[in-house]
Amino acid sequence: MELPLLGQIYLPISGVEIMGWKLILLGFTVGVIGGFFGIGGAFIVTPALNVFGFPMVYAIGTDMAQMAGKSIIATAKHSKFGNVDMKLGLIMIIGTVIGIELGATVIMCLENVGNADVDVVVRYVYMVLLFSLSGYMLYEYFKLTKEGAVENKTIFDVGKSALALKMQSIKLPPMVNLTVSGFTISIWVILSVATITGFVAGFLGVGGGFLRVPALIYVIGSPTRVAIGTDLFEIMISGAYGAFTYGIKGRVEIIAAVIMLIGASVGTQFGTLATQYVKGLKIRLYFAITMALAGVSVVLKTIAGIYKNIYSSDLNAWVKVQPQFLEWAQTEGIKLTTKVQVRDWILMNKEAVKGWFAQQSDLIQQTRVMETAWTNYSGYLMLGTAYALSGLIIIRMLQGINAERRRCIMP
Amino acid sequence: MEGINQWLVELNKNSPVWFGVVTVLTMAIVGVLMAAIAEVILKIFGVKGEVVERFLSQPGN
Repeated sequence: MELPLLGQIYLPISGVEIMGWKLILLGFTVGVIGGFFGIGGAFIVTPALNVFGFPMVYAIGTDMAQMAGKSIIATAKHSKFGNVDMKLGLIMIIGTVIGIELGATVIMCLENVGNADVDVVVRYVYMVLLFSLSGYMLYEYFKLTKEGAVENKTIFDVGKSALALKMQSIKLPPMVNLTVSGFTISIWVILSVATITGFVAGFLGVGGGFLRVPALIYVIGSPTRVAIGTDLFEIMISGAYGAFTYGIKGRVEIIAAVIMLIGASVGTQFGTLATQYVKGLKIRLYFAITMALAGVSVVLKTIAGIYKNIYSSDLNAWVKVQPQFLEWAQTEGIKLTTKVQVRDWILMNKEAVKGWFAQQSDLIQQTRVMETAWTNYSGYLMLGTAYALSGLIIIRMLQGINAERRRCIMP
Repeated sequence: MEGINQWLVELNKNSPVWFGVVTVLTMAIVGVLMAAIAEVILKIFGVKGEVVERFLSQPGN
């Protein structure tokens, strides 16, 4: 007998068939990581869904939808632990929205100018950011651990950075008293930080949790747990907005999102609970490792891109003269730029594209095989990282629960 | 299930705004529901999620 939701499931909107257990496991894993780090986890979900055979156009929208549901759970839980600074979160949202719009506009302008390959620029910026943030956090972790060992004391979390102290000393009115974070800061500082992180997120086309959490810690000066809880509060609102806009475009596979959310709801509880049992400094170490591996995953994706460049102009030219494409571009794809129209059509018409490849030379076919392989390596790396990391977080959580119980028995 | 699938496909094609609304509402309802269930389960198991300083100061944590 097959258990419901675990077996083969037909997804009516994208027309894809997928194993339900894969979606539940992915949701669970990303729930653990999201609840623990305060991030949406799109950099794990999108390539993973793609590896599972999910069209990329639906992967992003579906991820947005499950992210909205998941962050409600995570925010509620973090709020219970006193980790959500609502005032800070609400101000951050305003700056983030402005920043994302600016970043997306710059990308569109660059695409319209058409002088450079924007995707390549974006990918390199993404890699530099991931590796430099991760490198700094790793350096800080080892430096502080060494200092702690020399002075024979335990460092639970890092104090405020010099930059955060400088930012908090700016007395530009209106000043905001953040009771949960425990300091007063100018509203303009928060808005500037949120706009800059939002701009980078919009430029890269990502949610930006991996940027906001370090920004909240190092630039604003929030404690690690408060940074995580506050960012999740922001993701809850941006995720709901994203789910709605992607829904309007018909890009959400709602059945898959609900199934993933079932796994994510359990995972999020575990991840959030684990933050109570792991030192802030250690959370940053795990965060740094995850970002470094995400950076490696982008490198692998870049290698896949090199192979893709060999045939993409020929393929795009072929797509642009297809009657089905022209019809689709005039109806459903009318609001998109030509570049996005071609990309989406290729993703949604795999059989037709397969037919085109079959007519190409051996070299092109071999190139396609290599591109697919490197894309899969990238996806599997993220998936493997996510599974390993969530396993580690769950072990930490169980150890913490055990310690809490022992304390209850022996006060 | 077949009926729901059909309804979703129709809604997706004919009423994009309502499809967006249904997406957000579904996620919110399922999210809140699952959070409540998980909360009850954790309560049953007596997990409070309190920071245990002594545990945190152990090596490896």
